[in-house]
Amino acid sequence: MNQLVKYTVFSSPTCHYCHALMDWLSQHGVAFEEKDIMADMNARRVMVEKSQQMHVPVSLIELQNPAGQKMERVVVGFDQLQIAKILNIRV
Amino acid sequence: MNSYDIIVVGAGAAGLTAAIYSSRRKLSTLVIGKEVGGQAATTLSIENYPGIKSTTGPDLMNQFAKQAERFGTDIVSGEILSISKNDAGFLVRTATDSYQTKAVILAFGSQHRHLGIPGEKEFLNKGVVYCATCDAPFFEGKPVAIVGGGNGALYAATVLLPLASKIYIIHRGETLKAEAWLVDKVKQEPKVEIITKANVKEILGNTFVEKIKIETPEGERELPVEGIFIAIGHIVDSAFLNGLVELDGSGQILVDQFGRTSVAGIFAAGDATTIPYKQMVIAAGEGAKAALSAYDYIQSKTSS
Repeated sequence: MNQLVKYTVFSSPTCHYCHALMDWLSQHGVAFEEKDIMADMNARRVMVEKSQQMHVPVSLIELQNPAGQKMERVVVGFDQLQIAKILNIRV
Repeated sequence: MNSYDIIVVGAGAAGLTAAIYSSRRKLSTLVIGKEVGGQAATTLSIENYPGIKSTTGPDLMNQFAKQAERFGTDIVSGEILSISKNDAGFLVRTATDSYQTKAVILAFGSQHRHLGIPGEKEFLNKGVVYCATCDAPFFEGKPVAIVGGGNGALYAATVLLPLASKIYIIHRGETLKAEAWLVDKVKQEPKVEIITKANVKEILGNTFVEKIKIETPEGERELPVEGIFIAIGHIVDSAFLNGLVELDGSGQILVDQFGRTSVAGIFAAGDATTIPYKQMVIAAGEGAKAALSAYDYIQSKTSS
């Protein structure tokens, strides 16, 4: 099974789904780092580069497989089912 | 199946206020909305809501939601697939659930109007923007175009002024319709170019928007922009009602002074209705009215 290395949420203050996503992650015991793309220009650049679009929230999920290989998954929007599948969470 | 006294469709100012009023009357209340807060939640600065000097849309709307929940309202996110009349009242269906209710309050607001031109759908969130407050920061140091000539368009310009490198305002009419002080403020900025009597024909680019084609009385022009902010008003997307209640020519729900629609037991409030002036405080007031009307309706049903 893949291990979660780091979970980053790119959000903005007016984004309701960003808060819904972060609440949901907290409820499921997933630690994450929030990056406010309004305030943080570098975060904004990274987000657009990784997701190839400009809509928040964006989840950048860094994982490690049993062989020790690192991989990254990018999810645009509060896509519960997709995120749950990546993190192996039951919903 | 879940059963409620009142189901409110929409979780903006009108819907949440309706829920506060109905749950305080001890009516079991469910709010189903696509997004808590509605349009108000995309406004960064609110300074015209009485009693609150200055706040943000998301903060104020969260207060509305919390207040409704405090009195027992359930709020779920979802999209309504259908509403149909039955012996016990109405059956409301979402993609995942069905709910039975005695009365319905329609308060689903309005949506951004689209241009309907090539590239608009393809470049959504890749340079095509409908919410300036949400997405303006992505265009720091970049040239942008704003389509429209009303308050929404000029407000977008004020949000973009400190960020964008160049701002074209493209308006199909001869003069801008926005409030004079707003027009004066934007007009004097050297980075703003106002192009009137013009229409956008196409949005072009690769992964992101790179330019737009516009048509002016002097001929076609290409503008090198990376963002196009579309602010040409709102429409009420009432198609899902499928002829359930009477609408006006533009899809707004017809209501009387009690917030009643053409169908007994279905009430409506806020921007989705024919009530003039799309303002938060008006939507909230209309929501309260619809809830009190619905309360009277349920009382009359149960006492007869």
